Amino acid sequence: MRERDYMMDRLLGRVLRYGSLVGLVLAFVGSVLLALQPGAAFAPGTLSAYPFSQLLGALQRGDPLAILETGLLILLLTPPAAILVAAGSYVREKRWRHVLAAVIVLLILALGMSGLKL
Amino acid sequence: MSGFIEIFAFLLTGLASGALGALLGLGGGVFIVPALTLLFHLPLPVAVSSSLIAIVATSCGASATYLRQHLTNVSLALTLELSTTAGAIAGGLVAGLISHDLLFILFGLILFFTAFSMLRSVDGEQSDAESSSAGEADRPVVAADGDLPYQIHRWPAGLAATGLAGMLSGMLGIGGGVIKVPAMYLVMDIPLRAATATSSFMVGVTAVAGAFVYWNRGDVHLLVAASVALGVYIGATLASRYLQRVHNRFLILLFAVVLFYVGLNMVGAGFHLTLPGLGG
Repeated sequence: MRERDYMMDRLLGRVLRYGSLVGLVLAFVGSVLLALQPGAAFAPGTLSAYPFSQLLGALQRGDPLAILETGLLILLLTPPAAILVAAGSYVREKRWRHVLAAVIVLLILALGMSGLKL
Repeated sequence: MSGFIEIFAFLLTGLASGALGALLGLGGGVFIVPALTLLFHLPLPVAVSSSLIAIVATSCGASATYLRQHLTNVSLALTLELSTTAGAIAGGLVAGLISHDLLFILFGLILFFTAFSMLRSVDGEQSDAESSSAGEADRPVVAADGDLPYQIHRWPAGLAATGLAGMLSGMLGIGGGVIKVPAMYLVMDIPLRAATATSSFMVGVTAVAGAFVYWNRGDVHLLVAASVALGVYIGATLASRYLQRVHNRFLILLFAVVLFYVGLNMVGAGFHLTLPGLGG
């Protein structure tokens, strides 16, 4: 393992730790604010998420559900962000086979996020 | 149930699942999905999506530690993720098409397999494990410089096994480490510590792939997912920091029996049968 890998490991570790912490804290704050709303009731069914197109507007209004949703999205985007960081590191080292693997994994993840249906 | 009680109940469920998972070396998913379906009577897709999101949280925490120790083989993880993420998306999509009864039965079978693996670790393989672990401890995992200190073999078999693990992860909301670690260690000849650390990084990426399939289908209950994920993260972090991993033969046998019983309940749920103790 090269010295560059040690640097990449440390960077990836930080991305994963702080990304997940920020996401979880935001999600928790959103949950508490949601529970504090007068007459807040939680239907036994699904608490629907905002469509991504409406999320920013709801977040600017301080909507607790939007805060909760943003927190979960940050959490879910943390591992892909780590892969992006790894890909950048491999590009600097010209390790093209690893760059290709990282890019394909990111593309597969993007496909999953795009609302693919059978 | 008022909002705060609901949040607290799901947080506690996550906390217990995360702590148990860390103590037994299992992912929290094998406990979260049965708890949310059998105890809280949530729909299976909501339980699976909550479990996948919780797995992302625990994977991030554990991977950060393993990466600091330079045990994770990131390039290996990325290569294996080619089949694993594709498998997770396929699993998530297939789960939306097949009967929930079948998924309950499949989950029960996975629990039987996990319980059986735990029993093997304390029985027949004890002596093998002792003799191989001595050699295992000598196997280098991290090199001071240069290339990897170990050779990786049988890529096609490894990709196939991790692809299957991804598919089961997307269908059932489990991490799939119970398949990935043996595949890397026994099939691809990767040292056990490196396999464990690499699997820990992989399960988070795999779970993201599966989670977004459920998210897009509207099967994520944001409040349940957030509460369980936070609970699992705290439970796993505290247990791995302050408690010893369980190696006591009696306790492992006890937990294996509990897992087997939960598995029976999941299979029973698939056949619309209720066993005493759970799922009433």
